[in-house]
Amino acid sequence: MSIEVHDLCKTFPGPEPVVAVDHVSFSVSPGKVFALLGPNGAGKTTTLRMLTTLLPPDEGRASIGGHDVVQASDQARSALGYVSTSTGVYPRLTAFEMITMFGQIQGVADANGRAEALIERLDLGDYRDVRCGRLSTGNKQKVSIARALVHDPPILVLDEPTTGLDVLVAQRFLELVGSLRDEGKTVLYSTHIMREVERLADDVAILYQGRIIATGTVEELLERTEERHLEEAFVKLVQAVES
Amino acid sequence: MSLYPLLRLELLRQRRQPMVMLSLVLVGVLGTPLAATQALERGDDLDIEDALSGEALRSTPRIQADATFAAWVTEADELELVEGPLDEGGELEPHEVIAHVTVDPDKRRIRVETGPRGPKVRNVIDRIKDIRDRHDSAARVEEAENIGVDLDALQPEVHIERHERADTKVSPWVLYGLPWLMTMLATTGTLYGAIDVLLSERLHHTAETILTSAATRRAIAIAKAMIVAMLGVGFAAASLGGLAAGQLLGLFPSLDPAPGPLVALGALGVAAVLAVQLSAIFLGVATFCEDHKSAGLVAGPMLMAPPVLATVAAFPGPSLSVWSACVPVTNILLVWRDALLGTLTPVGAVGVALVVAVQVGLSWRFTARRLADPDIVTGQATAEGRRKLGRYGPDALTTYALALASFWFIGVILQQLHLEIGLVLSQLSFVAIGLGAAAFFGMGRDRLRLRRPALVDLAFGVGIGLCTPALATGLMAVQELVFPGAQVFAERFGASLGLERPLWVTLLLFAVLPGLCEELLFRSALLGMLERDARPVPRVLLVAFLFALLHLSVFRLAPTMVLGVVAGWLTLRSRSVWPAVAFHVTHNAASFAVASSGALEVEPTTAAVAFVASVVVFGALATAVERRQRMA
Repeated sequence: MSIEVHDLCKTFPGPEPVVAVDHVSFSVSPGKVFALLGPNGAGKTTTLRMLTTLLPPDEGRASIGGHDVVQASDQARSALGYVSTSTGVYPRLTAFEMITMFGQIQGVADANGRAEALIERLDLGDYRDVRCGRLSTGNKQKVSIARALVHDPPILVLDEPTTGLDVLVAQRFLELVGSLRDEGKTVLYSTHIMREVERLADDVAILYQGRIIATGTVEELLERTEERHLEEAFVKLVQAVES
Repeated sequence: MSLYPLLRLELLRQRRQPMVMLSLVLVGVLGTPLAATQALERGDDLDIEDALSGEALRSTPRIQADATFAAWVTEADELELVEGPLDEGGELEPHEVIAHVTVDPDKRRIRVETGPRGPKVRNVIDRIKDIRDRHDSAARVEEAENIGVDLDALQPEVHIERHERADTKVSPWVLYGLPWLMTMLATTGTLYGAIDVLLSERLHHTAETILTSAATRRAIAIAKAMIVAMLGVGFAAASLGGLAAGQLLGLFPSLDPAPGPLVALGALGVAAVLAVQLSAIFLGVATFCEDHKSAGLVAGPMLMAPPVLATVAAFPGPSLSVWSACVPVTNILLVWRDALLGTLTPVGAVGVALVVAVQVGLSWRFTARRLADPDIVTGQATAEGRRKLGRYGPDALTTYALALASFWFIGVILQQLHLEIGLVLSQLSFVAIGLGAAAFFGMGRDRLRLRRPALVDLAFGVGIGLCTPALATGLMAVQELVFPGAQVFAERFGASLGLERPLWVTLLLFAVLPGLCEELLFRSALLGMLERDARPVPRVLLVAFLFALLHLSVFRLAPTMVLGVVAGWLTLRSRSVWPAVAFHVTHNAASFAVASSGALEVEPTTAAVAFVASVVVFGALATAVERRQRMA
């Protein structure tokens, strides 16, 4: 199941309207990690919010696993797992309850069994019955990942998922994303951390001021800009647009 | 998708609610004696059926007296003596017989048996005292002359012993207190729940977690509404249980007799429907709140509104009609009241059920749409809501909620215990809260408009105050056409001014104090607090509406709001609050004069002429004020 995005646009109205996303198009194939790279305010989160049916696009189309995010939003949501800095955990639920409850909401037949399996896979055994409000940031994020994976979605949308995590936890998280990609899942990964993209992404789109200014593999972008690191390539591409 | 997992999720999230519920129930149970006693005292004043037809207000108080006392009563006493053997120790029916009066054989002691103390009981006791004094006077005049002292300095020879009995035939607290109590608790529980189930999503960043799950927005809204309604019912049930326990323990003897199991079950049922209705409304409202602080600002005035509506419904007020059936909260309570009275028709019950179903459905739909609103997700809507709320001054609304709470929970109860002291303290609390809050928010003398006014502005205030009683009367007459009951209320209000106390006391209590204190709260503090946030017209209208709401009567809402607008306009035009004070004092004094002179009963032609003349004079004065402003 893939992600298809065509000419997606979003403007926030107001006294001074803000064009958050401006004719963005890309597609992500199964078994690939597609990185959406951009500075703060580039439009990454708005794009992902449209893909996860939180926001309706003003123009353009997008589909998740073949389900249009506007016409078939319920089916589109069922096909994806979404983790972002805004997808928190309920502090009064234990880790196990949190995963199980969302399993039931997503219509998983054996939600308890699935929750136990995820707890084991994510090394959350010691915190199974601890209320989420008492967990560390890293463990909360693990619970959040487990919640997103509980219905075994073919598509994962991850919006800056390592924000607030320490280096070790972030490292393990990236390993997990890599293994999920290897299992054939379609992963859309938004970040502004270049190292994560270099390590993980099969394809990259650089988003700046709501528009995609460059796409390709990491190697292609480095080659195009004649730089050795993605960070320098990114700066060069952005400066080229600004000038 | 099944609602069950969503409901379970919400239930698990509400784990701490029992603690909150317990604390609120304690408040409810502790507040119950006062609230119910107050309701009871107000209840003994009127028979609801008579009140609805206006008969109770026009009737002469009835007493049942023994032969000795009956012989002392004259026509001028305006007491109706019920004939027949004195039913001492039997059932006292306060709506029919206010008091049983017996005189001891030695004629030194009068035993007066009444229901719980209330305005009507007080009135009868005063009349009995007058009769006692008149009877006593012949002997006392002689004694005073013999010993050469002032007659008034002598203690009465005949003492009155008052015995309060609660074994009333009708249980007024069931009719009045229970709907009020249920509304209070269901409102508290549901509003708290509604705010919490939405705000905690935002607080813990879980809104996107649930909104990106497979659950539909509608299912989420319904699950939340169901949990909120359950909380509301829980609050009401727990507090009614606490009340029952208190009665069993004999803590509230004035509440006897205890309601039967059917009444308790009915109350719970009504609380359930009420909580469902409130949950639907409050959920929609709570989607506009960004955090607990803004929710608190919304909650204050909103918590006040349903009890006011409940009062309107439970006390003499609108009967169940097509219009009243459409007013949320009121419609449920009208059905409840009519059911208790045995006057509920199947058409009325089914009609209200349909209306409530439609209201709840629409409200859930609205909440679901709000949850689907992208602005809710991004925080744009709440930021916008906060901006709008900011325009209407959180400081002003908080100050108002404080004043309303002080008036509703302290002032009204104090007034029941002692009318004059209660009135004075209520009014002084307005000044304390208004000016205290103004000092807290750092408002200067200019912003409070306490500057010395021009004499001509004061004169305008007095002149307009002389016109407005006729205008208000005219407005109430118009209101009577669309919302019957205003005239009965006006007569009752006129009677409650207390014609028996000295004129200066009446003027002080009903004209000077309200004129001064209410204007210092509304036109000085609240209008000033809104100065930087809202434009003049919405500001004056908002403050006038809050002013009207404080008077706790649906009949006075429109006239009082008009008066509030006039006072606000005067304040803005003269840049001083004092002309508004002069206007308010004059208006109240003139209204009192109208009420006490019987001018309410004048023929329609005279009233119409007075109304038109007042409109003309008012228009002339208003034009003069505007012209003076332009010249300035």
